Amino acid sequence: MARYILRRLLVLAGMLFGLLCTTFLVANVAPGDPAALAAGPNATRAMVETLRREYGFDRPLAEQFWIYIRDIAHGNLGRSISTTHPVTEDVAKALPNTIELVAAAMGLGIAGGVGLGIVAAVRRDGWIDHLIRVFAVSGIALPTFWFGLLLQLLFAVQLGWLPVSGRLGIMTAVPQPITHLLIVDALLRGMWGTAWQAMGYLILPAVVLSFPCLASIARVTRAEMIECLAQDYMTGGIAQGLSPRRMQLRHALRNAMLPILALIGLRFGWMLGGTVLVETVFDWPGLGLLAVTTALLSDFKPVLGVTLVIGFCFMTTNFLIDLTYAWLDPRLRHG
Amino acid sequence: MTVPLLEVRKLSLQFRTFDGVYQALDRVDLDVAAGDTVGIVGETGCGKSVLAKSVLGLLPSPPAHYPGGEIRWRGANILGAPESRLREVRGLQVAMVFQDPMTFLDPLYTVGDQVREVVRQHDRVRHARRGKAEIRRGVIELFARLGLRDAGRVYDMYPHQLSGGMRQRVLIAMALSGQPQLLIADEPTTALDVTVQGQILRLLQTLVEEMSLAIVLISHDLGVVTSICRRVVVMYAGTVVETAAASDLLTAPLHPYTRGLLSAVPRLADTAGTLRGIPGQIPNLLAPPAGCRFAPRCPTATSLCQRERPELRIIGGSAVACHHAGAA
Amino acid sequence: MSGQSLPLTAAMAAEERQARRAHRLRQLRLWRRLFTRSFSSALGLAIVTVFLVFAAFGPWIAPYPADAMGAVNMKLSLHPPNWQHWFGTDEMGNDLLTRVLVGTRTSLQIGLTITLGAAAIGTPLGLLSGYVGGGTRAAIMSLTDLFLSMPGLVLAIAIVAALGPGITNATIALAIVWWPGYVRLIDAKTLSVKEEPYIEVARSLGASRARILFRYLLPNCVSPLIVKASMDMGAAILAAAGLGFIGLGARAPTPEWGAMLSIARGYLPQWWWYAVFPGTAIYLSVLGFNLLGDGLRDMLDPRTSSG
Repeated sequence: MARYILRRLLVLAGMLFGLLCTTFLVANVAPGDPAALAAGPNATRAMVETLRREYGFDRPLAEQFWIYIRDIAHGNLGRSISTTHPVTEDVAKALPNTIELVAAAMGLGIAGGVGLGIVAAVRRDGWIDHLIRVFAVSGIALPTFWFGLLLQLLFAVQLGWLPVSGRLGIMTAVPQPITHLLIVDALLRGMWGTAWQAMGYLILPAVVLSFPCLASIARVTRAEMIECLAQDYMTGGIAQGLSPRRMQLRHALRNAMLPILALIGLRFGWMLGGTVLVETVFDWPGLGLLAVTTALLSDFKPVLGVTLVIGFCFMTTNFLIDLTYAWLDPRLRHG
Repeated sequence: MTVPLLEVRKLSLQFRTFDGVYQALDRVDLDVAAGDTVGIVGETGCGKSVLAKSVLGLLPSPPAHYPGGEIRWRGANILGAPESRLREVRGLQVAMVFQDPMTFLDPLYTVGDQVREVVRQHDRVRHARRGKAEIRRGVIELFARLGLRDAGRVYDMYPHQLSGGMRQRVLIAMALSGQPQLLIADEPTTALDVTVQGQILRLLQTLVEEMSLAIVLISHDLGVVTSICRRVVVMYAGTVVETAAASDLLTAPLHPYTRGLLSAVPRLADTAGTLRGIPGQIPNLLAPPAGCRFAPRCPTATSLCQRERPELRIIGGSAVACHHAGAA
Repeated sequence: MSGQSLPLTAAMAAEERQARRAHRLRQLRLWRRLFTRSFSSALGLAIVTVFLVFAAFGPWIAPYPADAMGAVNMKLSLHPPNWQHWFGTDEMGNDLLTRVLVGTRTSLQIGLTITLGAAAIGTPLGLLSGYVGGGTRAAIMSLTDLFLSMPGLVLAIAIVAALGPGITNATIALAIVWWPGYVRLIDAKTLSVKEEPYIEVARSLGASRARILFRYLLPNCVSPLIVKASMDMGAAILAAAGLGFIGLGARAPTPEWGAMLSIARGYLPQWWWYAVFPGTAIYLSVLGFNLLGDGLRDMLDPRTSSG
């Protein structure tokens, strides 16, 4: 097992390095003058030249790369032109909001998807199975941003049950940060009103973000459960007198979880991309919104910073999923 | 007089499929008494496996349908019984061992965990309660009795870490953990090497003697079946064609199919001549022949055979389903 | 084989022709069976066909072709759906039905370019990696894994931000994000086909590497490619629309569904039709391609026909 972890860690390190290379290439090798890109569309010639020297764009490529890595190691991601803050600062402010959103959405997606998938598989070809399958297929096709607009229209505007957008009411007190996660901090500080309101703001974006993930997981869970339910060890267990329900949950589901786990890793990646769309629709102050607003202003450094952070999170999560995989499947541990 | 355990009477089984109704079993009879060793022989598709699975109600009921017949366990009919009743029988009174021990064990749990799971279920039905350590000891003891060396270590191993023979012993242990009176073994040795085959068969024989266990051994291999079974049932295309004592079957087979099977086995003494098989193929069970199902391939078939399905007739110590048995 | 004109060869040739004809008949029967047995596949095929027709003939069947590229007609601004304008009008007075129809061409074109581009890059790399193996494969697969471990849409945004917003750059960015998937698929398929006995036979008969690649490996890859491509079409259209929605894709006045939704957002909830129709178009087109892809997969890979 230890050797497996070590191997995966090495792969992770390699991937991270690759991420750094890729972001560097995108920034510096893409057509166009990187200094002009960093300076923004409104810069004068003099400003561009200053920036060229400051960022070292006049140095050889290899040296630039070294500087790039060194800067990142020191936590320096550059400065945003539009907000004039260091990118690290903007990212640090936005990151917890995205974490909360994605955590809620993943939780919904996995719980809902696996649950629906199991029900559909166990009651195969029944009416509920057909309903779930239709739901799943259309859920994957639904454009997230459109779904968000529709839900906003229905629940926020028409029914007025939920707030339209944003993270928290303007007049609501914000808790002193402990974990920097708004809802968690509010709960920890006993600010129930704030926590409740924050959750209200979280519902719509989380549901919208979770939807394609939920639908996809439901489909695959159903397919995998059907296959596992047909396995010989199911017949074997029942022949020994074990109850079908127990066999389904303890054996079939556990075996099905392996490929489902792989899918969860994949959907997590798509979901990170989806935050860009959902945060735009709901004005959620997270990494996605940061990337979009700065990209539209041709303010490149923050976009790069966000890509780096999200890429890092994704790779680390995949690494953890790989470990979970090995923990679940003893064949991998001994192989 | 021996106590009758399992009595299958005129059992018929159909599978409703997309392409039609598949007649898997047609009025099959089977008797197993305490301490009996019965072998069921037949080629692939003759229905021996589904017959065994039907006893424990293991066939899912929408495609499977029983138009007629009874399965009596100790006098009471369990065909179509509710799950709760069947769970009292499964493992505790009738246990089953299957063909491929690799696929019949969950790869994600240790073999010890899986056997313990079964034991705890049995305890629950019997309203007994045993601690984890006690169960573990009992199972390790059972493993050792079944010939698993280093049983303590085996308990904590995963299926993929064991050899085929060891896995089969684990499955047998699982089956015996409920102290059943009848063990049905469906092709228990087919997936194993020949040497291991012999070991497992000898093990089964020991179990019969030591635990007065009745065994139904299913195989396509006549040699395997006659090595430990005192009585043999020959099946063809979903029907029983002959039932006889093993020795009688080998020396004086009554049904043309049995005779064909025996003559198809090459003997070392035969130095010349071609291998003799049985010409033709098994009938399509979506539309089985009206009369005797073996008639299309039978060298001695007459028009009577094609019209009428022969019933089992007693001739000497055997039963044969053939219009012309005893005449040749 | 050439130069032999024995009657034996003629008989063999005739038999081979007959076998091929029977095979083709079976294929046709399979196709028909698929689309009559499975409602969802038939629906998918129907939807895709409709959209293809719209894409091909959009500008000619649209009721107000001048509105496609944004004429200005302020008198007709933001009219709800009525008999003259089935989908209503947008803020410039353009007929929404026309713009959605013509937008079909835009979106489908983008989707097709992304998918074909990704396949064109990914397939040769996959063939190379699977067939040659060894160090080449390690290098290609590491690169592929690297790209696959970065969230697609985010990377695409970074690339578009670097290149500048616009349809072309968005397409390029998405193609760059998409190609690794094809490498994985083709590599896996090549690896498994490579081990087949008939490849060994061909090699022992003296077939060159190129011949094996083109005659055996490539045709085997066609089925999974078709399945993946049709499923990717849906995802590509969705991603492109997403970029358009954010504002990094198509620019006004090009009628692109995502960009239209972006503007429509400002006119909710009162002028709801502006958002409803382009959104429905995206949804239906993606749904159609997904259903079609599912159907094709069920047909070409019978093992997964339980889903």
